[in-house]
Amino acid sequence: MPTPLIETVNLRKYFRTGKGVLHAVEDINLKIDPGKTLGVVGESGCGKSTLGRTILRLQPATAGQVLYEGEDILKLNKRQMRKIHLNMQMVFQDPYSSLDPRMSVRNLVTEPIEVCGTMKGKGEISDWVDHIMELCGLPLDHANLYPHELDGGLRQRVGLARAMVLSPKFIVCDEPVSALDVSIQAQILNLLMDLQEQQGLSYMFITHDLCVVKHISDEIMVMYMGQTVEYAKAADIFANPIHPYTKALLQSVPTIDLSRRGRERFTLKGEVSNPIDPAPGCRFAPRCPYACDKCKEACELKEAAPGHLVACAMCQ
Amino acid sequence: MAKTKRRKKPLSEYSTGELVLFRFRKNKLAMFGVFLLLFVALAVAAAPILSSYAAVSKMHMSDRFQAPNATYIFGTDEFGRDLFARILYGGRISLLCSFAIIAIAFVVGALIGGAAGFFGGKVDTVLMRIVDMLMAVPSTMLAMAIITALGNGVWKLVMALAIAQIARFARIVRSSVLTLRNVEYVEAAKCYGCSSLRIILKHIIPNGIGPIIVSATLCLGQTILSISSMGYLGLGVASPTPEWGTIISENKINIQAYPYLGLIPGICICLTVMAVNFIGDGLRDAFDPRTKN
Repeated sequence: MPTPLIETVNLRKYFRTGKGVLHAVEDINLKIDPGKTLGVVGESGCGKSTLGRTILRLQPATAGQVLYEGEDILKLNKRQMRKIHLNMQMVFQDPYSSLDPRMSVRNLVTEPIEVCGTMKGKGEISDWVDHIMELCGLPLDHANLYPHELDGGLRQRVGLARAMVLSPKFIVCDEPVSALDVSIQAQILNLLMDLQEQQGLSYMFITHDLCVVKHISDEIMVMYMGQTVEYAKAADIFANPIHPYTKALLQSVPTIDLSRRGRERFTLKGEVSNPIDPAPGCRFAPRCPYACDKCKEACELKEAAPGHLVACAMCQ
Repeated sequence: MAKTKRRKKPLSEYSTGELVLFRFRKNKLAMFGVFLLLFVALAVAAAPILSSYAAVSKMHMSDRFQAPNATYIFGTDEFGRDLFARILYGGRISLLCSFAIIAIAFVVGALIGGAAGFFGGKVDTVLMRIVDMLMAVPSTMLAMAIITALGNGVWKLVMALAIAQIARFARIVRSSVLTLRNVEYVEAAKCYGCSSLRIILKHIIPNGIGPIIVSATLCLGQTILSISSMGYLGLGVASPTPEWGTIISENKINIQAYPYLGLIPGICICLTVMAVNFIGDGLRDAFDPRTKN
């Protein structure tokens, strides 16, 4: 088996708060192969963004490993990390706050190369930036505009160009389309997929929007309160969801299919429970219609079908 | 091909710095401020040509309380001293000292506040408690205490007033750094390997400088007045050495009968403060690309 591009081993991120320890990310194991996309789905606050940021070391992990091509990057020092960061970039959710309002489009896209210093010579840098801008669908006559002069879609293209300019192999996309209009969402998603095809990129695609994730992912990981509840091929998740939470998520997607209209939906009641010092056992149990005594004990992620991992005592 | 396309747009040939200058020049009020300040500064610098240092303290007992006239452009005070000469030479101290005070307080305050805001944690706690200690004492009292400890003298006055102002700049800078530190574009910069220094210089300072510049310019007027209140208390610049504030305070008994004695130095202070405020406003707008070119 080839080494995956990105792998996490029992990655854990806790936040100490005044009220106790917040378990944001709990023992996450994931693998992303070169050229593939992992969709990470879950409701807001389930730790999916924290997971992405911890993998990129934008914040320190509490425990566990993040392997990039088999090397644990959490042990690297700053200078070594800088080299790894050339291959691991991030696209942020909010195209408004993720671009420095005082820098022009050209400067925004150029800065990463200037910082990393892999390319010398103004002409070379400028040609490369032109190339990347074209690749990301940014008209060159926009180069001297400032972020406030662009619409959301173009801003997100700038954010993407800023990540792409270092020719990374892996990009964490943290809800890159959730702030955009639906028509523009499609443009950006298509752009992401085109880039993947051309450059062989891997994505970790964080979203709460199942339609988006279906469109783009090879594999999907469903998270609930910092834990993986289901992890399988995208098609399997949609065709054969096993975990009750995944089922609920899928059924919450609005449909225009008339034959399915009026069918009773399985909807979730109640709120996400408190992630501070959670009780052992299944964290979804308080909202789960199938919960029983078994769910009070910790349940592990197990293979329910070939390549289809589920963490549910009832379903295994 | 791509390059020639870019060159066609005239705006794109300017660098960011040139664009800032461009926007600043278009701001009429700011340019007015620049000319006003230049005018005052030039007049003050040309004091030996326009008058002489001897005239500052030379008393003409026969010409006491002369209203402004051809011989004495700004009139004379109760000792018959030429107010014009006193204003010119006094302006040297007023301008130089107040700018020096703001500059020192600004740089030191920005360093302390910037470090506290950027690094957070223990650094923040220690630095800010020191700043709190400075703030707990009223700034005039603090300056008085420092001068008493250091002794009298213009540069000691500058030090004392600067130290008294550090706390306020440290607070302002810290708060703007705190809000900017967690902004996503700073995070993005960390992600592509920006060093802390570069993040501070390239992202945090340009975005946080606006309110700081404005507060610095507002502070300047207050500083000119503090210098003079110190002078009035006999600390720092004391009569007969002229200084705009000191001139007002030494003439305060006679201002009712001879209003020009207070008006002329007062107008000088006002014009300078106004000029600096206009420049400050203009700078803030010029640094902001959202202002129209």
